[in-house]
Amino acid sequence: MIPHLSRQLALVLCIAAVTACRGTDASPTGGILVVSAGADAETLFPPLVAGSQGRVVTELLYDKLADVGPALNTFGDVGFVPKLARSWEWSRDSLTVTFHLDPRARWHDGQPVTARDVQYAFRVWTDSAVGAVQRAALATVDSVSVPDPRTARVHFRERTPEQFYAFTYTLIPLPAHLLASLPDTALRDAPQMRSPVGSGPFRFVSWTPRTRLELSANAAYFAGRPRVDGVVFLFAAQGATVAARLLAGEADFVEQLSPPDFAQLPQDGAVRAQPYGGFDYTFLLFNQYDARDAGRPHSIFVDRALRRALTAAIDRTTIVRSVFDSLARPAIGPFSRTQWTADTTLTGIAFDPSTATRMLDSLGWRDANHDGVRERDGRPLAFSVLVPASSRPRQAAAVLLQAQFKAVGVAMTIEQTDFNAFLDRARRGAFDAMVSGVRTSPSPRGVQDWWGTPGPDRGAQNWGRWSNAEFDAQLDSALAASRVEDARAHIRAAYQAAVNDAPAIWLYEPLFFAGMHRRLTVGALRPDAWWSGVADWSIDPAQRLPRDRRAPATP
Amino acid sequence: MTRQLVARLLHAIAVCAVVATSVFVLLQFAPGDPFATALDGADVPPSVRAEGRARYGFDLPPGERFARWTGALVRGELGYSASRHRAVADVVGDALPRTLLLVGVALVLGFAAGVGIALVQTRHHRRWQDRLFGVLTLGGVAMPEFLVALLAMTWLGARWRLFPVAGIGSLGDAAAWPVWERIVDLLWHLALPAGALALAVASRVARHQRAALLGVMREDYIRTARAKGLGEWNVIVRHALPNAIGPVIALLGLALPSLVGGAVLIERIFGWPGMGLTLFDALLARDYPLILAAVLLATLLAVVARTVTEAVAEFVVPRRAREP
Repeated sequence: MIPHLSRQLALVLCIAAVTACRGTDASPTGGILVVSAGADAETLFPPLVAGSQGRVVTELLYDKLADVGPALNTFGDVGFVPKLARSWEWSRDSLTVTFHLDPRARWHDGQPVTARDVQYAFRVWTDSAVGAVQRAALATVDSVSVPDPRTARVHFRERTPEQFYAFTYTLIPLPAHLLASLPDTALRDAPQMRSPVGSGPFRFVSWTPRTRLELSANAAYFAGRPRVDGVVFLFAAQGATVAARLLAGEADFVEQLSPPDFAQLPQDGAVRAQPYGGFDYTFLLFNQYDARDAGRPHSIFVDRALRRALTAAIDRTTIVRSVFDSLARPAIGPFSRTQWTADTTLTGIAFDPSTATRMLDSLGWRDANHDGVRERDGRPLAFSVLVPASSRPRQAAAVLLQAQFKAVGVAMTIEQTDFNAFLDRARRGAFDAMVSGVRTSPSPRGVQDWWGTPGPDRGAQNWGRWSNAEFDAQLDSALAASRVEDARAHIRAAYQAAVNDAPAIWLYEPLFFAGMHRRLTVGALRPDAWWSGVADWSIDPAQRLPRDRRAPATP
Repeated sequence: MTRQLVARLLHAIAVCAVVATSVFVLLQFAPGDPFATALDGADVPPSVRAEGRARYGFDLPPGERFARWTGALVRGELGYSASRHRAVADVVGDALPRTLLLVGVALVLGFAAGVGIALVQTRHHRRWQDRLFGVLTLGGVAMPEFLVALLAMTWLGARWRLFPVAGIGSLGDAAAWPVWERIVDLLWHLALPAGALALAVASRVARHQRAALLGVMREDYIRTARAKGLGEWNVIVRHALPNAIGPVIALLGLALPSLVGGAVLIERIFGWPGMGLTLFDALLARDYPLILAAVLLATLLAVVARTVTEAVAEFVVPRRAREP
């Protein structure tokens, strides 16, 4: 099943080799890359990293065996780029992948990266005492064996199209020579976790939590020294402060500019915005069950025709324009356009208030008492929408939704709550509807988590408890397909089933724009990991700043 | 004196106990979970969140948790911060000195500026200087601290680049710098956050101090001082101010808790990693041990500040000092 994909590996490896080994024009330029960030890393111990900032830092400090390529394919190993593993091969039954480590790879303390480090990392990731966040992603891996110090053999329990992605995207080899002597239960608090020794292009220098984290270029990095001398992350909790640092010239890079930031960009071109695809989409989710009695179907949203009528009443283009101007697009379905499974040819429910009105009339929802709100059997067509107070776009969208629903005789109230309470109520199903957002990953498996019928292996985040047999079956078929074309066809059918059934109103997909100083030269930013190419970023030597002289000291 | 000290100590302990218990009880009613936002990824199974709760004892009944927490507190342990993967004592140990520095500088700056403004207003009572400062201080009291902070950050930081937008120090290895350079760098970074906090303090102090000064300016001893031929500034500074400053010092004691409260927003805006920001993050993350420790320390700070300012006021005011 999978090995046929490896026939393309030679070509991929050639491309990857060109990418991985920097040419003569990629010599170090020096300078310190200062990144202004809104959140700090919660930990630098890769198995415990849950937030995006922790991922940024740990993936600069540690290399994976292989990484997804620019196409973001997650099926088989097509497009994957070698990192610590110079090459790999599949067994005939696709249940074993043998990784050959690059003999030049070294830990930051000079020790070679060995297959034992891969084996140790697998043990740590799967030990429940450690509490690795993404342990479930390795559920199909049975074991890792070590035929020799440069060869790690991964044995899978079952064949799945994403087994290679699941293993390489999740597991980061750890320095067994430093950590194996510690009990697993002590790892999360071990001092080594606060001054990690990695294998990646940057070395750890210092970390003042919630303030600053400094990395220096790893001059001994086997794939070539990074072009900049170091990376410094400056943290600030307030979004306005994050952008202000860039505008003031105190930082070179901001991961995402918000719409108000664009108005602040200087006219002299000192700061520019570079677009890159995001993985976010936002929707108005209908709860299929009663907010107070989880066993009883929701009195309004259980009706598919009503959900479709409500969808037809919403002008998403106007909402997107009003909230984001041109910095977002109307969402299409339960996916982001950046995913390789995205399909923009789906037939959606068009905005048509007259159709919405007719549908509501035909369903028996009429404004008999002329108070502006429709009723049926004496019950008004009214519901509340939960919105997290931390998201201004979602709040603004909720206000516009309220106005548009009102125009067709639907009363909607807005409930704001802090994000923690929002998640609490979402997980308990204690809401009528909610403006929710998803940050997906390259893998289509996330769709199953968010929209699959809740069960042991899916639907963990399906807070509205929507269930559709056709959607589940098509997605199962897609995730088991051996050919990408077959997977695409099944996924398209699944998406269409979701759009037709209207478990939510698909609102918008924000467009991501990184903000950067003009002295900085970056390549294409990978939508799921903008930091993946930082080692190749450069700073114009003619535009050095005084702060570049204060380089993080290499320990 | 000893009896007074003991009484105040007991009072402080009682206040802290009531506050800690109240906060603990309130947190039980707050919706949310210490592992809700940190582990909200679609690929994080609920079992991982459950493991986290069990690891830190959040799955125990509230009564047992409270007993364990108070027991640990008596032993001098503040617990473990699950959101920061560190001991609460370490987190607080990093953050508290920064807040004390920020609030302390703001308090000193605000007090000095406020008293100075009030002296000018008293000297030029009912003239344009008095009216101008009256309007400015009214604006300073009325304007929310976060607005002042955002304006300062945007104009003085981002646009004119006079001060750093945020942070507590410049890039580089500060430990290798000369002491004077470290102090200058710290003050440079402190300017905007402390200035934003000090503005409100100065405005309040100025308005209270002006009223107090004008009150004593009608006293007989002021008339006597003038009759002796002393200059007006001399009369105000040497005779009126010592008799009018007591209530303002007491006001500072009361202002400190609100200053610490205001520091939450200021620290968030200027990326100043003190107790305010720590408490804010802890509340969002439902990091119960850290919330309790932060609230307990803020309470302790308020009680100590009140005690100290009362003692200082008694010491400074001449008439009180002379009383048996």
